[in-house]
Amino acid sequence: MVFIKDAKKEFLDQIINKRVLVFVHLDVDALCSWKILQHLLHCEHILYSVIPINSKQALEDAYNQHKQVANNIILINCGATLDLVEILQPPEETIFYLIDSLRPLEVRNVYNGIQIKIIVLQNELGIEQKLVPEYEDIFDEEEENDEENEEEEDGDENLDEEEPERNRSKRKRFDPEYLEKMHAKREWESKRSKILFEYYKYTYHRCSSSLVLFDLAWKSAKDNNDLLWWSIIGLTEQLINCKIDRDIYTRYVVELNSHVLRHNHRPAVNALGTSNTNPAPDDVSINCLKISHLDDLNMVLLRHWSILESIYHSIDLACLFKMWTNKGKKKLNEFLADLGLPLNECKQKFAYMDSSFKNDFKMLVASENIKEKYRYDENFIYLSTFIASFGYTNKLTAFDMAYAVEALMENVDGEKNLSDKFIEALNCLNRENLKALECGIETAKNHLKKIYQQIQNFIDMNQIVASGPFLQVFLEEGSNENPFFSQIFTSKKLARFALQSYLALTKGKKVRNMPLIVCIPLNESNTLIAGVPPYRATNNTENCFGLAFDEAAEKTKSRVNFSYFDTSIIEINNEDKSKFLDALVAVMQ
Amino acid sequence: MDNEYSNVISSIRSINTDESSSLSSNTNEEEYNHHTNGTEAYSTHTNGHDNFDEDEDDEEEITPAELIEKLQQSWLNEKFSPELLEHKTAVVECIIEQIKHMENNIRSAKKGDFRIAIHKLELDRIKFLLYSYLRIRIKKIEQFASSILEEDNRRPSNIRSKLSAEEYAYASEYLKNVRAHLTASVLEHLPSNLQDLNEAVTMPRPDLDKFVFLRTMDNIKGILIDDMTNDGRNEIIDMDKGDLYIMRYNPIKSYVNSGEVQLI
Amino acid sequence: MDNEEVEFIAENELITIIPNFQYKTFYLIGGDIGPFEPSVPTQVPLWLAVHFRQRQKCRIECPSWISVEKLEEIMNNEKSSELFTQMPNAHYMEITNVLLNCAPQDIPRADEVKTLIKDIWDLRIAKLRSSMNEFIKSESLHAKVNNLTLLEINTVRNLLTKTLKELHNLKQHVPVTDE
Repeated sequence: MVFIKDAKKEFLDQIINKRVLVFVHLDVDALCSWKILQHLLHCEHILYSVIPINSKQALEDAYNQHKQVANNIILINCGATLDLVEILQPPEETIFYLIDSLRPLEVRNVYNGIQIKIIVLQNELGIEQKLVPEYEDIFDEEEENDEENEEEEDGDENLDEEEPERNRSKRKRFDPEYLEKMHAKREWESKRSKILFEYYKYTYHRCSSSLVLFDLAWKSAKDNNDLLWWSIIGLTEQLINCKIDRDIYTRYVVELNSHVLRHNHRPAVNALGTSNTNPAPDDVSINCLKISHLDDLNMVLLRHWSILESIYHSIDLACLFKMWTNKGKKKLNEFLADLGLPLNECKQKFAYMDSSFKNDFKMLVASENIKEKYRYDENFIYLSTFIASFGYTNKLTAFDMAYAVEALMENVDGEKNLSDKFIEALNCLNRENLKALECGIETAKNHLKKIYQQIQNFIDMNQIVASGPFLQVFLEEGSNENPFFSQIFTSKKLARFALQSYLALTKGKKVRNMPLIVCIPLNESNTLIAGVPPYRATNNTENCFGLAFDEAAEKTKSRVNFSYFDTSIIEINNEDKSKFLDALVAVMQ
Repeated sequence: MDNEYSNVISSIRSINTDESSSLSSNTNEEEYNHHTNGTEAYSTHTNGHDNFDEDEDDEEEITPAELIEKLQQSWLNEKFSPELLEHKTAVVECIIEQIKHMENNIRSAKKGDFRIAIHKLELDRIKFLLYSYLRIRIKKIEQFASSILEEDNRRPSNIRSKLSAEEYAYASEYLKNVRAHLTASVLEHLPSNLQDLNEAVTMPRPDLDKFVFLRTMDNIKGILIDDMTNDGRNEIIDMDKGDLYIMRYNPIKSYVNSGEVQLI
Repeated sequence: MDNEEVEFIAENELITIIPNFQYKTFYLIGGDIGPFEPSVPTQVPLWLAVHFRQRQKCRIECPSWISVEKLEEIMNNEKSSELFTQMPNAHYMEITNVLLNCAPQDIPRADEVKTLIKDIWDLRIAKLRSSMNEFIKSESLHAKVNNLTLLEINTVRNLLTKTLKELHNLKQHVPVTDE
């Protein structure tokens, strides 16, 4: 297998002195991983070229354009699920290093020891190896050779008119040994297709790439606070986009916390990140990055908004209060009144609120009677994360940063091509660039507002319908926001929010376990379809739509384009849409 | 003059080829002859006014570190002095040799040796000093071409020229071109009694009354600073080693060339 | 002369680092560096120390004069003295600047150090300005300026030299009065 056991020796030491080509997928985790990798490359004076990519076609095109630059190619969060050797046709000396959180890995990549190397977290190596089917179960070299001989003999039979030859081959046909072999082979093949079906059935994610690279940096003694912060953001993004669930997230947070404590041993700030009244004398300059662990409220962008707006746009709370109904809005006001917060304070930006209210807010939200009355528990309202401070600006949580960077990447305002968005998002991660950060947060707010508005439309007009085994919702053609909603992560976010809000407002038992697809018209001829798995409190990260889309497309011979690395998002020709959806219903029964 | 230079250069060249480089992968590390083992040699001219020939036998050994220090001092002096100072071609040539040698080492070294980056950094620093020094001199030559050449033509044969051989050639060529240009573009079209460039009057001369900051490297006694006004207050001052002063360039001009005073 | 060039000269100063790698001696043109052993302090020029620090190959040991106590003492001396006092290092401003930019974590109480250095600098520049004023008024022909650092001189160089030159010119052309 090609999993690298010692990343420092087999990866970093191999590329020292060589030129590398790096393909970075456009998502927050990959961007953070890239920043960490860039630091490592700088330390070792390794020349590199970096190319951001969005889709499979972009990978192919970029590879064909730049392949003569380097023989060592690093792919971050892209390509591990594709048969690289087959698609890219690389020359023999090229070696690919894959760092990807998306699973399942393409088996041909895993068993290609010569040209492909996959980097995973050291202590998860065993688990990763077990997840992939055994070599013998999928590939059978002996059988393949036999088949060739078999074919040759058949061919000879046709040309050869000599009797003894024909007799010999005929005899072979009825040879019991031969029959047994054929029988075994058929059994093996059916077992193989079953194994492969099970293996490819669900797409899911494992450890974030930024954490893998941070681990590598740590083992090479090149880690510092900045790299740690980036890996925290990468992990946070995985939770935001439901790539991993809460338990796994908490586990990684604990692991990262040990690193945080190692780099930042200092008296901790109290809840909500407001400093103590008598701060202990700080040895380090104010301009250094300081990270600390924080149990934060599950309210999106709280410090950059008013409490009211933050609660509106946090999906969990919005569903709890059923915010799209009038009754829901009243209930929210009641909630705030119960907490003792006057309404005009709640409408103020959080940073300008009266400090007594701010400090009490977090305590009161967790008080027993409030929790009982509104029916939520600790885990619901609190989220374990990290907060960073540098210079004299406001403190930032990892969630704030992840939202900001993702918003910049999925921004459709202004004519920006892929590289511009990539560079803007990277600027945002660079903490010296406060302007980019502010821009990112503003953009994130706008995006959340748009999504909220769209969900409101869905609910008002009852556009979410159950059709067969899944729910579906269509966006109208020609709407201005369609280009925005057809970005990869936004479409999934929209789908998830729609699913959760629908479930909050409906009482039906059957719909509890249904996944949802959202159809977004791209242009006159194409539609984007994105599918999300059913909403469960835990373990809602396995997505079966990849395989389902594939089957439905094959059955109906629809013109479907699996353009993205995430197989649960496809582009389909409008004419084939309805028959495709019917076939999908049939497949998923 | 030429004899002196060829002697110097050949002596340096022969020494450098004996040294095995620390970076080349073929040679044994231990064979590397450390630079400071007195392998560098060139004549130092301690006093610019002295008879040139007397210094021929006086060869001092100088380490590369001191060589770079000398380059830095020459650079600073040239930067702040209003006139062109004596050329330091010996220093320049030695530095160029060192740079070439190091660049060869880098080229032949194993790729990815982490010392390469560091040697390159140092080379960049030395090159910056060198190029800046040469550029300042060229700028002054171009500015005062005519007066410099005139001064050079007038000097007695035992005093060293301020220009190196190449600089002399450059200055003459430059002056010739400027004169030709001025003649062709303006003077030819003027009436004949105005066609004289009259360089004696018009040529720009360096302003020796500029004020400079300086540091004394030796104890110097009895510098006459005259006020140059008719009711002048002339002063005679003594300067101790290591003092910093600000004063007019003219009185201390001769000490700059000799190295007793360093402009800062 | 630009301030960057002054900083260039200052970068040749030696400073102690604590490397985390092992290497034999370097033979630079300007001298020997090394050998390097992990956790063994070594002296290198400032430009090389910054290069290593940025690649996380070493930690920089703060020079002994960059400490809050020492700097406070120097500032008090400077305040109480009319003339310029000797600075702990001829390039104190440049070196602290470079270190604060590239390795603030290695300097204890970095913010206080920054404020103190700035205060000392302001103090000296104020003194320089007033003494420049007096010097020009006194019409002296020269002045001793020991204990000034290169960067401070560079700040006033253009103005002072040009002013003195102009004064000198004017003096040259004072008509001789007939008694």
